[in-house]
Amino acid sequence: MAAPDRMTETAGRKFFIGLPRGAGLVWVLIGLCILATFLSPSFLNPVNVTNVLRQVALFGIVSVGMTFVILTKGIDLSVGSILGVCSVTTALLLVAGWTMPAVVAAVLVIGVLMGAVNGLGITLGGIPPFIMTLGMMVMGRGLALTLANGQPVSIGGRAAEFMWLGRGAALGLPVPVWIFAIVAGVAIYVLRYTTYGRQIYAVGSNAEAAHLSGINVGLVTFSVYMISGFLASLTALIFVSRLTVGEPTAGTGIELEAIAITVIGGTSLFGGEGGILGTIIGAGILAILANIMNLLGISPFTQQIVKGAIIIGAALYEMLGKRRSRH
Amino acid sequence: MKKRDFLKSALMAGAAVMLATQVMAQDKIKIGFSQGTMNHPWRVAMVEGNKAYAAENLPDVKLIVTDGQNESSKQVTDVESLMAQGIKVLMISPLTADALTPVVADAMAAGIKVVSLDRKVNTDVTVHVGAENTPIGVAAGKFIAEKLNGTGKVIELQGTGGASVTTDRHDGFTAALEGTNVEIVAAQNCDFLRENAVKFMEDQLQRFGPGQIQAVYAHNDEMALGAIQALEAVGRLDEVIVVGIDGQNTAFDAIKEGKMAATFVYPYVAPEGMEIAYKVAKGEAVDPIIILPGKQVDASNVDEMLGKGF
Repeated sequence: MAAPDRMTETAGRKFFIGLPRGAGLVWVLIGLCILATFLSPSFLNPVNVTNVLRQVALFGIVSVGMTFVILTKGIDLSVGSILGVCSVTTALLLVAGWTMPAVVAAVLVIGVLMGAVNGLGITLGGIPPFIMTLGMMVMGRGLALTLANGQPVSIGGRAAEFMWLGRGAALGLPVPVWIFAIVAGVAIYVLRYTTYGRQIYAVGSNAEAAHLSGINVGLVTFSVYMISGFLASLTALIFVSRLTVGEPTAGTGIELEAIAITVIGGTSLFGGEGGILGTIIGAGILAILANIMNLLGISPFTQQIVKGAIIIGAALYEMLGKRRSRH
Repeated sequence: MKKRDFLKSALMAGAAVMLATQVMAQDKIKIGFSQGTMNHPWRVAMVEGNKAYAAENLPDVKLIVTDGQNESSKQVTDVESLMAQGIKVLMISPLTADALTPVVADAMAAGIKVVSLDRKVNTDVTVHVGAENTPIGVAAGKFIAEKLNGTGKVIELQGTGGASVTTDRHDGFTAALEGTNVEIVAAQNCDFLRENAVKFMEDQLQRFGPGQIQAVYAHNDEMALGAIQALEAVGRLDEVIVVGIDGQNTAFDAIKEGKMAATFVYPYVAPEGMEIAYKVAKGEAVDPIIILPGKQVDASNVDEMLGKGF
């Protein structure tokens, strides 16, 4: 009985690598879209669709980084604070007169460095990812508030030239959506078709075995936190462009959103299973859900209850699926 | 499979009901109300007051309310979402001026009339309604300077950083203190929240021993009440006078009990916000700036204000 089941499962899996639950998630997404169309005439309004895509992109970029981390059985609670530090730094550098390319480069480097600190603590220090990134989360927020003196930092006159990143559009789609598309595309390629990608899955599913097969587990682990930090800083740049301020409180809570998106997308918190495709769909599902509830005028408090229920539901579904496959 | 079918039919049934109500609501005037946060009774009073007014008096209005949950980026998204739903008028109480300016400018450019409530943005809107905060700050400064006979040390508990309200209440206060020997020895952004004020005050009361602080100026009543809590805990409430702003019922009670020295009624822009938004939607001429009057409440007149706040 076990053999044929596993074969069909594997065949299904091969087609949707990164979607361990097969095509199920895609149907949920499509179902939600159809439901939304029925529930509100505004849903298919091009402006609304653009808004939803933009929301997917804004949270999706950080979620891609989170997926990399979770695939190695780690977690990054500090992405929100890294976003905050980078938002403030972006604004401060712009006000100080740095050229745009210099600001972008500097901020991205800061994101990578903060991620590297996480990585060092986890690999060399042996600190569990939860604790290390928790500490970084608290420290980072404090750093952001210190740099900003507790106030949002306005980019003032530089707003006009910096606008295109968060508020511009190309070929009808917002720039952040294009950035997300590129980020996701590169991530999918790396995870599926490179040795490095395979190593990430190996480390996540069984670090000991990966080590014994010659994979440098420490290096792989270290690198995914740098990726997460990098993508957080990229998102910070977009945020600042959109709001024309660098807020020290920017990104508060985004780590939980990213984790929710990644988990709903089918990436297992136990590592080694899942992928970017699932994350994209997870981001889509949460964005459309929030959008429908907004369009229906559902109270924001109720929205939170629903969102939490969906997250628990998705996790339950994954657990049940695991139990079934064990038989 | 059975579960899936049941779920599908339940969803369809729900959808049908929703669709029916949507169709019936088509011919109403759509007005969007973007609130920055609902983490404070003053904000809740603003939303509930305007909602109640619309429900009772404006049957031809469909009011859509969103909550920014204390995050500027969420509020920007909320406004974008409201715009996508085809609102005619946008009522907005922005969390911070800068972050919401671009999207409000977009709304104005798209022909949507904008009514800003309480806090301002840095771009032209159709109407701004609110009380003036600078005069309140000045009045608070004068009150404290008088009570302290011109000399003393004050702790300032500030509101949300980057909000026009905070800037005005601070600037007015410091302006009134010029030329006196009253100085602000510590100030902190406590985001208008009681918990933050309590934490900050507890630490400051350790830093400044007994007799070293004579007054506390809080940008709102919640923070003032937090300061009172911290002062009572170390038994130093009788040597410090506490001033707040807003006009909460709990603040009036505290003044009556002698715990708080004064507060300044700060109208929560309801139902005025809804009234003005409706007029604007109907195309009536409205003054671009509408100032709502405030009022100083202290031990001398608190009796007549008990229970009249929010």
